[in-house]
Amino acid sequence: MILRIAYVSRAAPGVTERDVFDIIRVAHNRNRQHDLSGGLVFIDGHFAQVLEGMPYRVHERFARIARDPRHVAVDLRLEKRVQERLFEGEWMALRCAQEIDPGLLRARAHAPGWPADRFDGDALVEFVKACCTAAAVA
Amino acid sequence: MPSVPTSFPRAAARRRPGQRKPAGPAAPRPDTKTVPSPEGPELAALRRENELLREALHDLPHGLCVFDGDDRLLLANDRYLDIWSLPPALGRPGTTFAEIMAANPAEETEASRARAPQQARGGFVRRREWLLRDGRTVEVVVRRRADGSCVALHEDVTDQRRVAEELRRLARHDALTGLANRQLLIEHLAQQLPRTRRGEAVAVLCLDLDRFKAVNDTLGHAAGDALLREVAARLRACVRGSDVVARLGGDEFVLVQLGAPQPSAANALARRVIEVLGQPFDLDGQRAHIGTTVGIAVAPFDSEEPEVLLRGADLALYHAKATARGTVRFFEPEMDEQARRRRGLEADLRRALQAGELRLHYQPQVSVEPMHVTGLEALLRWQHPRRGMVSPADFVPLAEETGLVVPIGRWVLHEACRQATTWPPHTRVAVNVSAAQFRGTRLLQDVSDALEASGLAADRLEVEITESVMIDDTRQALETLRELRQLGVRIAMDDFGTGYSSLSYLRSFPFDRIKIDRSFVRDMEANPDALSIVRAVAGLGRSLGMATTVEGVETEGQLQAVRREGCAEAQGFLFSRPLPADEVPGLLARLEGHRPAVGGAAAHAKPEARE
Repeated sequence: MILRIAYVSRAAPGVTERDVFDIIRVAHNRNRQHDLSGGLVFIDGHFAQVLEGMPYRVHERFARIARDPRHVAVDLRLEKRVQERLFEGEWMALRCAQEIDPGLLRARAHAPGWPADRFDGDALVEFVKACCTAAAVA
Repeated sequence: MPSVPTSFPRAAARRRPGQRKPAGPAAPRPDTKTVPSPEGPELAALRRENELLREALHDLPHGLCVFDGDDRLLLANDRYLDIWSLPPALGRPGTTFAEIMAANPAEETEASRARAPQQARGGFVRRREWLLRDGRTVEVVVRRRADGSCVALHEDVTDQRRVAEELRRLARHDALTGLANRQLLIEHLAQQLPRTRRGEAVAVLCLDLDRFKAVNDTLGHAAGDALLREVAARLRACVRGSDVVARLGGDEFVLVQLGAPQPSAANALARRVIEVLGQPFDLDGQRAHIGTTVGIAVAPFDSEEPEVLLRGADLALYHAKATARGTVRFFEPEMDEQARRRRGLEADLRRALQAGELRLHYQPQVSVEPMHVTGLEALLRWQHPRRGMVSPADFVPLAEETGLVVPIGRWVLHEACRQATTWPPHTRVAVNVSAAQFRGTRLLQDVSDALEASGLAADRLEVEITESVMIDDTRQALETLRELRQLGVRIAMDDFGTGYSSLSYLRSFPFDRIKIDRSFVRDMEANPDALSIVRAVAGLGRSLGMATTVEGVETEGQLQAVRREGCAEAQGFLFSRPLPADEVPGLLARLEGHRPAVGGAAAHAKPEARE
């Protein structure tokens, strides 16, 4: 049984893409050891992340994530037990705004402050997955 | 090249195949040779000189042409016409430069056009380079004289350039696999890294092969080479056209990945590489299994300097291997910090031996029935002037990696043997010998030197090895063990039960002693399985004629259990923690004096262990 969570948060002031890469490479190294997978989208100064794995590991990791000073207003939108991973083999995909297919943003009526304002849990998961998949093919 | 004499006949000095002498309007007739010249001696001399020059011109390996101030041909040799593939008619005097260029259109290279003429005696010299339509390259040295005329020497440098290019290619490629070598890799990175300014990431993946040495050693170098070529082919098949695969030597490979979303793409590539190199290799009928581990650094985040990126990826690889083979690790800045600390520690450790900062502490090994001290195990300690006591767990692995373990191990052997001679007769000294010492060739010599220098009886020295000694090269290790045994030295298998195949090693060599790992003793009272294992190993030892020592005995209860299960000896804080050499006599007196009860030092060390 896999636990999947999805949250949005706002980047702390001064956090740049370089910091985001830092977050992600450490996530890669740790998640590999703990068999966690997921995707992270950084857009409009907001994070949208999906994390999946063994429930205990996911809770433990999310507790750490929530304490990370590089973001604020962490808002958990989804916590769901599922049969299969959406991000199989991806310890933490990362997509920053410019890597995301503009068509994908238009289709979701992209506007500043988004996705923090508008996406519910399922929409969030679907959005993160779409971003990571589209860019991986490009 | 001498300047062309004005008296030189104005004709293309040409010679057809088979013709021995040049022909032409001004060429001497064959009969003139034997007939005395009707001309005056001066004119005859001039004619002879003319002839000589004509001969020289024909034998010249270069093409030569002379144009007058109106760019009309005065003279050209055959080679000139050959080089430019010109019809013989164009070799006639009076042909214009434009006519010649039209006959064989060529383009001057950009580098050549940019070259400025050089001032030379009596005019200017220009080196020009032309690219012919048929792909050949012709180099021309043009000397333009003050009167506007010019002399040009032509050389077909196509082969020369091709060879030079090939040499350049060879110098930048690995001869065995045809992959880029380090130099080309660095050049390539230097060229590609500016892409990062456009927001693109460049990933560098470092990998080396697991078990490559074993393949080389067991199947031979030819098989090793074939394996490397096959690895190169598989790696090439993993990457896209714009990516680069390089071999840095040995079994070290590097991939450069461009234009992909990072770090996901590098991660995916690394996993693909691990997957394909994990498939068996068929080497001339022999199957070989290797594997690989990958370290990744990404520009611009980790660095934009080729060398720094490579080092980052290599550090990540080092960390990946330290945790598990067949895995991927991204570089993290802390790795740099750790590497710096390691280098500092390494430099200190190099000094420590000379500076006398290394010490040996001794922990007694006690026979359980009847109770008496049979020997002491020498344990290495490092009293660092600034860091204080450095844990062996921190510096012993470093010593093994850097090879420092060899001189340090030598010192330990000498020191332990020397001190053991001051102990009561028949008291053994046990010395740990690492796999790295076994890999070197000096171990046997070091042991016999230490025995000779100290005068210690060989059977009072017990060498403790772990399974790692056997894993690296079992055959070589067994030979060294037999040689040590021939010296009279005793051999113990340390940390028994923590490895994977201890039982098969027990069969391969008649050890004097098996030391059961402390973890079993620790769990013995709580976990019946651990107790069963201690019992089984003690039984195994008895049937193989090997004594068993249990490590890590801390309580009287554990000691009683050990005695009950039939182990011969015990070692642990219950008897004493490891003590400096000068406290050994007191320790021995205490332990012997209180026989059979134990306490004393143990009570000091671990008050909670008292019953």
